[in-house]
Amino acid sequence: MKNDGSAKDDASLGYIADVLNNIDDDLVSEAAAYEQKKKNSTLLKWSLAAVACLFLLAAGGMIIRQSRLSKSGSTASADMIGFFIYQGNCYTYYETIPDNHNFIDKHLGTATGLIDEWTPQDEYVELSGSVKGDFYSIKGYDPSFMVCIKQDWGLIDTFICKSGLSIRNGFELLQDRLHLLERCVSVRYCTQESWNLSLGESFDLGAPDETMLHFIQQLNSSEVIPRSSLQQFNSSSSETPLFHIYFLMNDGITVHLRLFNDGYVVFSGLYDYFMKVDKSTFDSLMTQFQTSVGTPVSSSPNLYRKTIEDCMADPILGSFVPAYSPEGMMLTDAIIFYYLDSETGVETGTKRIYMSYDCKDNPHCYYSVEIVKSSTIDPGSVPIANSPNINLDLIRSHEVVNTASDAASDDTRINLDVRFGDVSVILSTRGVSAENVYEILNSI
Amino acid sequence: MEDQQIIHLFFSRDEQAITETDHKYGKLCRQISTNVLSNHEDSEECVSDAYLALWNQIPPVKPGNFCAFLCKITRNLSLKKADYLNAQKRSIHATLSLDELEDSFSFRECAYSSGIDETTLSSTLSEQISNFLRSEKPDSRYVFMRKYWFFDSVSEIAERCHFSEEKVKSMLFRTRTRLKNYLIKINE
Repeated sequence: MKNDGSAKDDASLGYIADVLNNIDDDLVSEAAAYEQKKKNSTLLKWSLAAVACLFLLAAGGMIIRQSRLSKSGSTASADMIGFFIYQGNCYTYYETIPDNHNFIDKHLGTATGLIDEWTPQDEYVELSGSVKGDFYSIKGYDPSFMVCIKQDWGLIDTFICKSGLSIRNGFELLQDRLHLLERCVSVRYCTQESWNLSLGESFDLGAPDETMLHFIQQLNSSEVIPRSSLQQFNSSSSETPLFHIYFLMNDGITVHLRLFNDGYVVFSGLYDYFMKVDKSTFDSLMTQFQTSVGTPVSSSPNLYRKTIEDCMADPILGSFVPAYSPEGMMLTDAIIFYYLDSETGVETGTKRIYMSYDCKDNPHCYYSVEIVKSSTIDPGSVPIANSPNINLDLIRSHEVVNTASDAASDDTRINLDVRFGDVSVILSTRGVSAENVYEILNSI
Repeated sequence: MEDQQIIHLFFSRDEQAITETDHKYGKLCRQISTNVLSNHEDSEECVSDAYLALWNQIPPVKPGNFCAFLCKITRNLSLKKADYLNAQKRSIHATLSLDELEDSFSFRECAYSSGIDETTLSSTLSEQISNFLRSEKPDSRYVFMRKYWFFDSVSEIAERCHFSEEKVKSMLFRTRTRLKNYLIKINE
């Protein structure tokens, strides 16, 4: 962060702020529509073109019943929540976790992902949604509560059903559905500030201790309170949480609770169900948290980006990853994409490896490497060369120099699809010398 | 109340226009201003100033997009109040957000050296960024706008969009990279 008051930096940031302030009105109002819709929503805030639900009190419990699927708002609706419709209920995105290979149970269906913010109401049909892909039940979890989608980069997105549930108390949510006490292996917490600013400053408490167990027992016995009946969470200046509590489960799932003033607690998967603990339990927990009890934990690892070692270790395409990168170039992105078995979600092969590099000191200088089976790419989009023929002269022959008068002196580009048998290594460079390109290819 | 009705109240010099504006857009304006200033009193003052600016400008101005018009005034006043030369008054959100974008604008040095003046470039850039954002997928566009125009935090965006924070960060990173490449390419 450049927050040192430097005049040069501030002038530059001010300039950027001014440029952005003059972008077109429709883009501003489109993004602003988020907030307006949030303000106008009544019971549920998770409404992409809202799935309208009714809260009903019945038999001492609360049923979130699906009443209709409709578009809310009149103009630029801009909510784009990850959701899909399954058995008439709406499942919305909860969290992304690594695949521990023992998570997916049975194939339930395939979300079509055909809904966006301009989709007419009559297209909100079974299996439609804003996400697409095969979805599965999760071992040990009721699919009427939580299911998952495996992404082709190997991670799992979990989705929680927010309609059609009948929950009377905290036990039915935390134990019956989330199996909190049964599966929790450790507890972490962080301040609202750390969460809000993504500071990644949290504290590990280890396995639940007596204070935490008492807190959970209090939550278990708490009745479920609808948000709509709590004035402090409905006004335009709704309360913000004091702390965030994360229960890390032995199956990779995290139960994220938010702790508010007066002992109110909400599960992040269901924002409209509140629980409440008594004052002494709340005070005990606050005392722990305010004195930063526990072991400091650094920020969570980036699940999406792989390391160069991960890419090289890939059993199918890893041997085509260049070992060399020119001095001063930094790996900025590395992703491995897989083929998935539709029925099981198991990775059946590597589809593609993508890596990009930036030069720290020169914004004009960057390159990307894409490794893919040659049969899967469109022929003719990039010049092709066979690996045995690669030499410096051949690379230079593909060098395109920008001759515009205002071009940077090092503005050269090389795009090449180098074939290693049935594998293509597609190199796209700018500002990288032919010699360096040769070294990159030669290091495969 | 519809925006056109509010504008009509301004044209009628009816003070109810301010009340209706605040009722409909007050929370949004306070959010923008607070994200920039991180100070309740300062942001309240900015929002009041924005309403006064509306009162002074309408009429004769008749904004085609009232919401965007008001948002831009509020954002502008908030940034001015923060004072670019006094960065400590600006919130960490706004500073970090603008700082992240700086790299995407790095081609400017080349543009200046080729003789383009700053005002012309600024105007052109706003248009180019608008075109770029229109070419982006809706979700990338919304996340970008919420982060760099409204200065929402990653956590807020993640919560609003029901994405993981990692996903939001990844989307922002990719959009910034595409914007950087787009601006370099279109201005070369």
